Amino acid sequence: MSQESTSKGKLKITPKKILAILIILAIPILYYALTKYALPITTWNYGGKVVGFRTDLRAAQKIPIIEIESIPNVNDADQSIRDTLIRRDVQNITFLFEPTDDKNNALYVIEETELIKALTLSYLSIMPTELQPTMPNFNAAVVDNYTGITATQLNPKIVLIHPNFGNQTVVRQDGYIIYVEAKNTGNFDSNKLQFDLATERLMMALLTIKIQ
Amino acid sequence: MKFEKSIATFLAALMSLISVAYPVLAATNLGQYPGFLLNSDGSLGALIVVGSSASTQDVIGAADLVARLAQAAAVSTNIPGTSANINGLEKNTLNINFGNITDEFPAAIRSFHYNGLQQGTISFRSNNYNYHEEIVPGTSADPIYFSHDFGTSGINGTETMVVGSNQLKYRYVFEQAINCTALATSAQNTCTYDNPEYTNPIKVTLLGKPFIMVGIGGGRVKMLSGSVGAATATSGVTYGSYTIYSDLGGTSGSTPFARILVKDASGNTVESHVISQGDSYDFTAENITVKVTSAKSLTDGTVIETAVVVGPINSVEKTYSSSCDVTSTGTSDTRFPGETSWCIQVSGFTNPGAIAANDAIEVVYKPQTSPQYFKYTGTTITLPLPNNYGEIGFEGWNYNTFATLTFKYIEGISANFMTGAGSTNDTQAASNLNGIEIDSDVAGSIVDPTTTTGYSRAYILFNQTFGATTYPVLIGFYDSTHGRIGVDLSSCDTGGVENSKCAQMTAPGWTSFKFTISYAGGASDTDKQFLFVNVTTPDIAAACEAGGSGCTSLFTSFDLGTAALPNGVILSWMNKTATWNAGNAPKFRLYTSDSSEDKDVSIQNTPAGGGAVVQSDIGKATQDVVANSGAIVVAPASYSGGQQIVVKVPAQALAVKAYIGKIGAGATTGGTYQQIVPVTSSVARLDSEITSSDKSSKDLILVGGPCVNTLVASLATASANATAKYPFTCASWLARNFGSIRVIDDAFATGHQVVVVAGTRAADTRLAANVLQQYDTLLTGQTSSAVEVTSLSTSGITAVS
Repeated sequence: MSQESTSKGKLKITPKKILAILIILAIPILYYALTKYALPITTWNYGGKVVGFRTDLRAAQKIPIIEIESIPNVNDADQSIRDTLIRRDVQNITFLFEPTDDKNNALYVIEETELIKALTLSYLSIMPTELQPTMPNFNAAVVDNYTGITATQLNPKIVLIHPNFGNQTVVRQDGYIIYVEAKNTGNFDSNKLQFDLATERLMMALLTIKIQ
Repeated sequence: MKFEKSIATFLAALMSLISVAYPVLAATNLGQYPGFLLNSDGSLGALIVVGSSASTQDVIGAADLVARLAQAAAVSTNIPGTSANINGLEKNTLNINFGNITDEFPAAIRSFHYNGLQQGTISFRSNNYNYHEEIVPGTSADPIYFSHDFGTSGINGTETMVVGSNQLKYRYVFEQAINCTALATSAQNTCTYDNPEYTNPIKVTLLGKPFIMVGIGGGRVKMLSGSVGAATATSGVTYGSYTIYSDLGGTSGSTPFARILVKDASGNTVESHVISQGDSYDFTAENITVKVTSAKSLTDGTVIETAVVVGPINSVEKTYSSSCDVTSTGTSDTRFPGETSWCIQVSGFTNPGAIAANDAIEVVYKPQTSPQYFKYTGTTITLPLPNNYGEIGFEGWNYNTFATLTFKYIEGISANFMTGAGSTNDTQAASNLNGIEIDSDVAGSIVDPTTTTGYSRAYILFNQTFGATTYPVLIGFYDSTHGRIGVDLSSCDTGGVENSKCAQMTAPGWTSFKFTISYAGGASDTDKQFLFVNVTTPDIAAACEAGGSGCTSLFTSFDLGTAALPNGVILSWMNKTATWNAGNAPKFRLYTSDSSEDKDVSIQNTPAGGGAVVQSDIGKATQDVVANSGAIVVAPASYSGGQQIVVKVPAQALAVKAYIGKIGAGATTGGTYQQIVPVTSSVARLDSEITSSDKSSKDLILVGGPCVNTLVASLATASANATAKYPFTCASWLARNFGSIRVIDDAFATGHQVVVVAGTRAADTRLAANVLQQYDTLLTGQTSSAVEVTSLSTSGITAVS
């Protein structure tokens, strides 16, 4: 009886079947490769919290961080920024920006909000539960231009440079001042993307996000 | 059919009832802001929407709202209580090796950490302004720290809290700006430093003592201190043994004056003087100064009220700048009243006649000798703030549980055969043994790593040699049931074996054993210590760990430490005689003589202020000495002369226990505070980015009026099916300057609110945003769903329909 059923169940392997098996095997591999290396990433699990981003983290990672003057003894640019902004003795973090035209001003709010989101998450991660109410204050102020800005260890500043004033899309650190600069592409939507990318690069440094 | 009709009629009636009642019952008011924007888990459920053509002022206003909402999104959370009798924050995880207070405590201690601190409002010219008190326990750059550095005089190996000058501060922080000049009573007295305002000054209480701010500006504050009150002919203000009365008043030119009477404790008038408003007078015989800040009287001279400040001469009116000291005298003496090591300085106060938000008055610990060392000697030691307002307390260790090990030389003893873990038989296995005994006061705390059996005593025993090249070393454990030492000779080796209990070494050779010291037996690795002993044959015993001339020993290691810090405590057992032969087991002593020597015992410790670990010789120390490993060598000089060393090994990894607050205030059971729920999605949008899904599923804060924010414009537009939900279009906005905040229920979708923040001009929108940002002081209790705003004060906010 058992011999008979074995003989009836014998598989005949045809080229079509081989192709089908290969396709079935290739789908999860392709999916894995796509999600790992190609598809945009706009969310990130940060300490158990799913954080949303405005644009692709993979693209933002390509934005350089330039250190004009970093924290001593810190070689890693991302680390230097974290050590500047995420400290338990920081009292106030000020966002500075130079006003531009009415069509573009609103972008500053978008970018500042994103950065406050990342800063808040970062601070919560370094503070024991009962210390959370003593997070630094965040506030915003305008500047006439981007020269002569000063900051201190207890009051670092984040300077947002709108594409209308920017030459390149970059994050720069100059001591206790972090510049988030976006280049002007001549198109509103594209400028917005550049600003988002620069902001997101700073957020990645704050949240220790590195895409493989 | 009839039945169905009845149901339909009932439902219709119900719906009509709901439609009438719902707006009344569910109308959201601004006093509820921002609670209605938060989800049940405390997270922010709203989007902040800025008009695509927003002005700069709109942008800053929206940014301020975002910054505030980021911290307003919170959920009520339990705060842990203190373990024993502490009101404040208590930590028992501070590193014993240069651990900083700022590693574990908040940068600023606030009232929600220690309820002896205050936060609230002060009243000035009918307006209330927020303030809070805080204690700043150093900074991470200049910390208060703990050390047991043996090399620092003042510490000498004892765990010590090190507090330097200008590290510990009490701060009185003005959370809101106060424009004193704008509210001053006259053009002459403008609250500036040069033209102080005595009639209506700003009154504050620092560390429980009243101070009166009369002049502000240029980084300086002029303040009065002492006994403060109103004197009349029958009601006095007392300072020390004297009470000040005022029985006559009047006006000279435009300046009011008052006659001041000084009465002693018996009620006798001892002196009197007429003082003009704003002036002071020194009553030298009584050593008091009386300052009249305000004088009010009737035309017949009857005093209504004379406001005075009374204190010691030279102390009533002082100027405080951005730095203070505790050595200046006279009017330059800025020490806090009654204190010798605390002085008053200010932070901010740069604007003439006005206080900016976050300006602060600081009372700073600046001892004349810095740093100050607070050594733990078995009882809690405190550094109190002035006026006993709170303290930093150094309570000692995280867990006050230790196994105390005594190491001593023994000779001429015998041992029996071990028959199993912890047990021996009656047969003697060896005699005339010399060696080292380790005795613990906690049974089972010395663990044989090969059997995991714990003992109260262990031994490293040396027998006489067997021939020229066989050197026997035995590990013994104490059989407490039978009162004898047991050794295991069942598997002897010839040396070169770790954890050997029986080595008959062939020269040149070595043997080693690593005892586990574990208080509770099952403690985690980080809570264990290890005693590592390495013995060599005489021909290679050329050097010992202690080093120094002539330092040779059969023990090339006798180290007690943790897995991470194995050399925490080093005992220098050396050969007392060079003899180890067929007739004699070797004899030992600590280092090179029978008396107490520095190198008898050493510890590893970190220098005060940080740096590389150093080894310190502590054999002649008279006090307990802490090692980096957490072991505490008990008063070495008391034992080393007797060839013993006593070491306390902690039951768990040793850490410092400290608190900030107040001890003896009763154990706290904890409380609740608002734990921030972070924003994790993108909450700020342009009006052009808002989708219909956003409108139907989210609450919205719309910044900018109908001229700049298209969503506001759409709410202001009536449709065929509905009336306009916002009262102004761009064209119909009122022709006057004001800001507007309005909550609209069910604006785009049922169950969701929209808050519109707008204004005639961009500056008015910014003003409205600022009011919303300061909702907890300016909108508390507001029962209307809409307000007009003309200034950043409660008087500038008007409810509208």
